[in-house]
Amino acid sequence: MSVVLKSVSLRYPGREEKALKNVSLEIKKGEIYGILGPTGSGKSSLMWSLNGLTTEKLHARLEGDIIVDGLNTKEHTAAELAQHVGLVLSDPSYSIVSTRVLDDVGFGPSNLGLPTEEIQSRIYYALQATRLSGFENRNTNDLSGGETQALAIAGVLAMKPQILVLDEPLCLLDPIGKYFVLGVIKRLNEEYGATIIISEAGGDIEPFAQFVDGIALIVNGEVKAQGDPSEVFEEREMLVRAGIMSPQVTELGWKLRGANLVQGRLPVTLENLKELVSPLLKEKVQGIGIDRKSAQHLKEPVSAKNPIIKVRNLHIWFPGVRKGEWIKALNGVSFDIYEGDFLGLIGQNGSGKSTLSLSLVGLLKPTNPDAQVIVDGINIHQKKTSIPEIIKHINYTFQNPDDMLFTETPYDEVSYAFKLQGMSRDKYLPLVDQALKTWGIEDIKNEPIMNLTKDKKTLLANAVITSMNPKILIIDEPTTGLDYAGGNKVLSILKKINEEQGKTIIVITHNMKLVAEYARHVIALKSGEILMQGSTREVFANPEKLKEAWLSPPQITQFCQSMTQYGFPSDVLTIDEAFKEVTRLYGSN
Amino acid sequence: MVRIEYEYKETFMHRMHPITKLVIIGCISTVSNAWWDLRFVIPLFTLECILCYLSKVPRNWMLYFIPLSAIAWFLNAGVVWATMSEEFFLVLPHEWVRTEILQITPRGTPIVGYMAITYGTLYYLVSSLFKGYASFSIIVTGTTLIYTLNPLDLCQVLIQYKVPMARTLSFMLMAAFRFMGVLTRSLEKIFKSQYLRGWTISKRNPVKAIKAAAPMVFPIGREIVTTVDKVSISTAIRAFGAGQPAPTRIWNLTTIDKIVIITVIPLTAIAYILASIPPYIGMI
Repeated sequence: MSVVLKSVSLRYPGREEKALKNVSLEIKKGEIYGILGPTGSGKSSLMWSLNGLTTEKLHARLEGDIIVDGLNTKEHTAAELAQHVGLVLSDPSYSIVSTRVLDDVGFGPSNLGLPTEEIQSRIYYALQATRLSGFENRNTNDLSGGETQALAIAGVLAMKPQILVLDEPLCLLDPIGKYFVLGVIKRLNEEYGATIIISEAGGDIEPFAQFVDGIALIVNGEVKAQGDPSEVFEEREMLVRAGIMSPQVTELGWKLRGANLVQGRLPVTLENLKELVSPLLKEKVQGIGIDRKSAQHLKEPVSAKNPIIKVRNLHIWFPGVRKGEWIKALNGVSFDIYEGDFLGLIGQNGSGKSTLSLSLVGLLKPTNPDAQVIVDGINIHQKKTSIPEIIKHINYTFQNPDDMLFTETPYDEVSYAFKLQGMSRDKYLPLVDQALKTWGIEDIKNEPIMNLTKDKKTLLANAVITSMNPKILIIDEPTTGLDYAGGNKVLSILKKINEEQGKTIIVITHNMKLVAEYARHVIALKSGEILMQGSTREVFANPEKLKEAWLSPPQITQFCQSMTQYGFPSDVLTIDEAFKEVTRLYGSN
Repeated sequence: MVRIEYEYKETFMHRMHPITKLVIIGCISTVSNAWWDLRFVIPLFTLECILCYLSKVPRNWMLYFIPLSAIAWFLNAGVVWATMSEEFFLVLPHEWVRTEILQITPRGTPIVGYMAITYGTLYYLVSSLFKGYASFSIIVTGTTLIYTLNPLDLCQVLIQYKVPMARTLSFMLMAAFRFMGVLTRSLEKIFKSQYLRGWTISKRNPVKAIKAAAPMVFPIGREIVTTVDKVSISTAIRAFGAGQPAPTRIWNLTTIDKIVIITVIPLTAIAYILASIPPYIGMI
């Protein structure tokens, strides 16, 4: 066995409840094992305990034994265990220590006191394994999200650990970047026999389920289910209670099984589902020649009103370090966004999504004087337009709520903007209550913010911005660090605000499932230019084009696109739509 | 955003041994700041500019440094010229130097003492206009050093030569360079995030200004604590402290490095000595 946990319990100082409760696990050498659980379930505690970080750095009290590569973690320091267990954290900025790729990868082996020749050889081995050869002298600050994550892996890989532990390594990456990183890890497992342990909160369940050999479902610090992915996803009720959604193909498998259309093991991958559904349709559809229909009838688009945002020829360039070199964050972007729309702004890491959003709220000025950014009738980049004026029309919520929150309680936090405006307490009190209620956090309005979980802080940051009543809301990655239920809750509230209050919502996200479910229109950016724009269906119906921006449609859309020979439309967006299509095609003759 | 930091380039300065780079820049700066005579200063400054140019130092760096150096020079010249004594002058006759043109404060004035414009101070002011180049000299040599010398390479050399505390120094530099960047980006986000709530700090009352700074202070404080955590965790997972560290690369002095070091150090010493003893070559 590579990793053994024997009745492990863990308690952090000052906390009453244990983060891990009597956890027992056995992971074989060379296995790829997944730890699945919602936000705050104890996944990271488990992962960080494997190389002694929770006890050494966070001063947690550990009961039971953790044996990694034959070593009891209680008897070794984190630095000693680092040679056996390589830990890659979800935020790569925690893993990278140097500004130059070469030095960063060499830091670990150097600390082990290896001969210089051996260090050099390990640096090149790690860079090659993570496909970062040629990046030796690059500045670590200049790498893309996927490259940064790959570098974090290279850094621990250079220490040649037998066990590689990856704590939610996919959550910050664009869709194809996720598969790039998983490909790197898979290669390490296959070529070097490393044991891989990877955790997931549910946002990226599809690539995760496709990748792992076995899963342990952990909820409230306890292991609730173990087995291969198909077995674990059979525990649907438990998963739903925990706020985790199975992969889309598994969900469709459930529905088909419920309708007595299929039997047997639940599908976990796209291939599994195709194998399950193809015989069913072959039997019924073969030779009939059904016309390919669009699923447009399943979700009506909203009628376009007046453009509330009008952008023309927007260039935002930053000077590069070399003479005459420019980083073209936005390069001649033009588009309209209509009043009352719910728009998904998607694109690979570094494609210009955040730059565009910051420009819409006046925080970044265009490079070209003839650029036009008209928001709700005001010219954002005119000299006389001030930020206090702009935020009456449009506002933006940053990805990390901690960048904004500073008061003691949610009530104080939401009140702050009103106090700045000199509004009396009687006037702003109902507005504060309304904002807290809209975001479902009225019951915690007097709790200390520092004790709130990430999802509650995200809801609060959004409440702060919406309380100021702008007509347009831009929300940057509202689901990062949240489990599926948390992310879904944020998007559901935004949908309600969009439908009931008529606000225009722009969501920047890498989560294509949520875009498909909630957004009416999509703008896809690639290297500072608009790659595609249109209705969500139109955009996701063109996977080849999306691929250019390292994007891919949701798994369920991909499934339907791979089954067009049976009459599936290529613009199906949700599981319900796919289910209707299967039943329609099955019963069509 | 322009980052003032080392960048890997294929230039002869970049390729040199870290110690050689330090010696070249250190020696040139020493002599350049000692000399006042323009006949000596101008050729040396030209040499500095050539080195800077050949090292491909980004020219837009100068946009940041030239105004700063102009301010530094102005403050220095502006304050010193009216308060300096005749001992400063080594070549010019002292009697001429102290001949008063205009008295600003009489002798015995509290705090500032005697201040006056003399032939000497006026001459110093004129000279310092030319000497203003010294500030630019520091910029040219300083930016060349920053752009061509990776401090981590220097640390590797120190580890290689088993210099005491080299590892600690190396770690501190690495952490500072890496996490200052991380922190700077976070601070930028915090500022922007608060602006979008209508926050501003333009209060004339200092007490109100301090109160108004709260939306910045708390997130920044939290970010600093997080950054310290990041340093601690990132080093633990990379086995920092597991054993005696080793250099990741062995640096050897090439023949060119050796020739440069052997030539430049004695020349600097000679120039410095000649400027310090009569007839004060290179001085005014």
